Amino acid sequence: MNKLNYFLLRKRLNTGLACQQRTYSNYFDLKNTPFENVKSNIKEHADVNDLNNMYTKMFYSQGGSKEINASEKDVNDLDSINREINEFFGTPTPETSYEENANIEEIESPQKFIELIKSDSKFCIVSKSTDPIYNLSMEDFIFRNTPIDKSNLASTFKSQRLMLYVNEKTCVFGKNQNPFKEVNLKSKLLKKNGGAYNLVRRYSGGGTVVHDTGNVNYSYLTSRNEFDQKFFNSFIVNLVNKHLSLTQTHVLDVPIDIANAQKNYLSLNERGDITCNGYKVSGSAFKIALNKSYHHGTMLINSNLKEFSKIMRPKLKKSEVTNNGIRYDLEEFSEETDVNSVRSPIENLKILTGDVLSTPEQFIQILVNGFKTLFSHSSNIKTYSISPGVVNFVDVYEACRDLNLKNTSKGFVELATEDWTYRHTPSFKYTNKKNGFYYRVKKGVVVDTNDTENKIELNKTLFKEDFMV
Amino acid sequence: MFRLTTFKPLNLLKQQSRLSTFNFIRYQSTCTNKVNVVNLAKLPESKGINNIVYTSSHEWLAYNKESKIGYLGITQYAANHMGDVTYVELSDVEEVIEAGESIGSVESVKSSNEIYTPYKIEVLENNMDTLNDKPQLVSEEAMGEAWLLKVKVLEEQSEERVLDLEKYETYLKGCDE
Repeated sequence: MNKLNYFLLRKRLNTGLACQQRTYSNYFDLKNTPFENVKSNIKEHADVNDLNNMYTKMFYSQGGSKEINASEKDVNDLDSINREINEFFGTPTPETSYEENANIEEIESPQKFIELIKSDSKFCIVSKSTDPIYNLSMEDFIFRNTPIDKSNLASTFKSQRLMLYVNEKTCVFGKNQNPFKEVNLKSKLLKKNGGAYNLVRRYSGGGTVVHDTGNVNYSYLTSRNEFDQKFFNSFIVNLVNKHLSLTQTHVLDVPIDIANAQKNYLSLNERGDITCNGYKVSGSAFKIALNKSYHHGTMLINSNLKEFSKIMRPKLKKSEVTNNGIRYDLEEFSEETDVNSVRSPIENLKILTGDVLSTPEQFIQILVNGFKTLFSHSSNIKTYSISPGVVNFVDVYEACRDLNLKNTSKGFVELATEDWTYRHTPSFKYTNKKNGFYYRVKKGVVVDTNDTENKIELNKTLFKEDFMV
Repeated sequence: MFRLTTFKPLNLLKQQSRLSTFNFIRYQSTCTNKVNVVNLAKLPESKGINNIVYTSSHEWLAYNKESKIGYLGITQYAANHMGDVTYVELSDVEEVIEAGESIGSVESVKSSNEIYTPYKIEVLENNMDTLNDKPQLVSEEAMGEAWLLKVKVLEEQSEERVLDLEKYETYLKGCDE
């Protein structure tokens, strides 16, 4: 039995080695396995060979000669046996941990939505919309309208919430950032230039990120007192790593990682960012207001990173002189006060985890299930879905007015405006060294310039990317 | 014959949770070193200030009861919590802001923190020029030099009760528990 186990293992290792070019010597010393020469010296090991053939016939109808085909088949057989054993012992497997979440409740009306948000309850909400304005408005509305006991702020907060949404192609920059500096506004990929990417200034701080449907946005809401910048990301790291280790194959307690040889685990860096194998896979930002807080972040699962880097403006390396047509040496930003992005190398989790975590749905599921484990009495924590066809924010704002409820959230009417996107920019001076013109810009408007060509009216004309190199 | 698949949460997970989960790092507020006392000497005009109120959202408002003119800022406790301040955004001069409404925000380490006024005010001056040049001043001198607005208090009424220093410090103890 034991001998055969090693034989099978060796076969698996051989196939594994052939395709992965990776050594497993830390697990087994291959050269000294007792059956190293089983194949070449059949006669010398006739007794073992008989035994081998017996089992080979039992499991492989085509015989043991086609090793690769046979080993594929044997994985299937072994998997089914494993499944039986796991069921018998009640060991959780990745498959079973997915199925728990059949009961997502759809929110039926704007009134029901407001009722839910204003109630003292913890819940998870998944948006069915991929519109960034809708999703950011939802987040802001929930954040501003979640109840908190202001007369006794030191008491335990009862209404932690997790919001999950996936946005279509969108470039999202921080509240106090300069889009002219952070985003390649001349890029053909942007919607305003005929492309697909939206451009949105968000309400939280931090730097510029790009979303698409291969990326999941999570947002964890809690009280200001409970707020901790690293808490939720470390929670995600633990959850995802647990998931990754569930899919790990163990042979007699030794983890064997052949199928997923390229799998990497997540970790948290000193800035609180989630990294994997040295790449940043998630960007975070925070908002604190009304004695509450949220931490929202992105998680790259399977995004179009090539396009992302074409939209981003900051240098990836200090030595860079050009980037997608931007000539850093021909321009200068000065007298600026805005918040700068830090460009980091990024990668998708699909690649980093060797396809173990490969879809946004998978990650959403992990978070939905994981959120409940954060609290005792977790059975009361429900998961809701919201869709723009049923709950529209114009209706929600109106319903608040009708019900005489105080609502300070206005994302749905504010986020998409030019005023919010451009006029909210911190003041800066831009110098175009190609034509020698400089522009001092305050609240998005040119207040001082030596440009005589572009018919600029001081304190009136909006600064445009056309003035740039 | 079969491979045993065992579910193991492994040491990896244990190690990480020890490092991070529920590892709340908090700045302790201490009554003894008086970090949240308004440093009147560091305000542009401190003569006549005879009333100082604090809010549960960590702002202070120091003004003269008669002329109603004074200064508004965030407490050192809040500043310590925020970490390095990178940007300050404030309401413009002449704006009138209702009690409990936002007067601007302070950004620190990827976090946008909204600031509120306890009373209805009119903005007479804002300190944005100084604070945009040196945003870190908010972290260091929140109770004085890094005042945010010079204001005229229009109505001394607030939805939420305002606190005096003693009550504010007691409240902070509750926050840190």
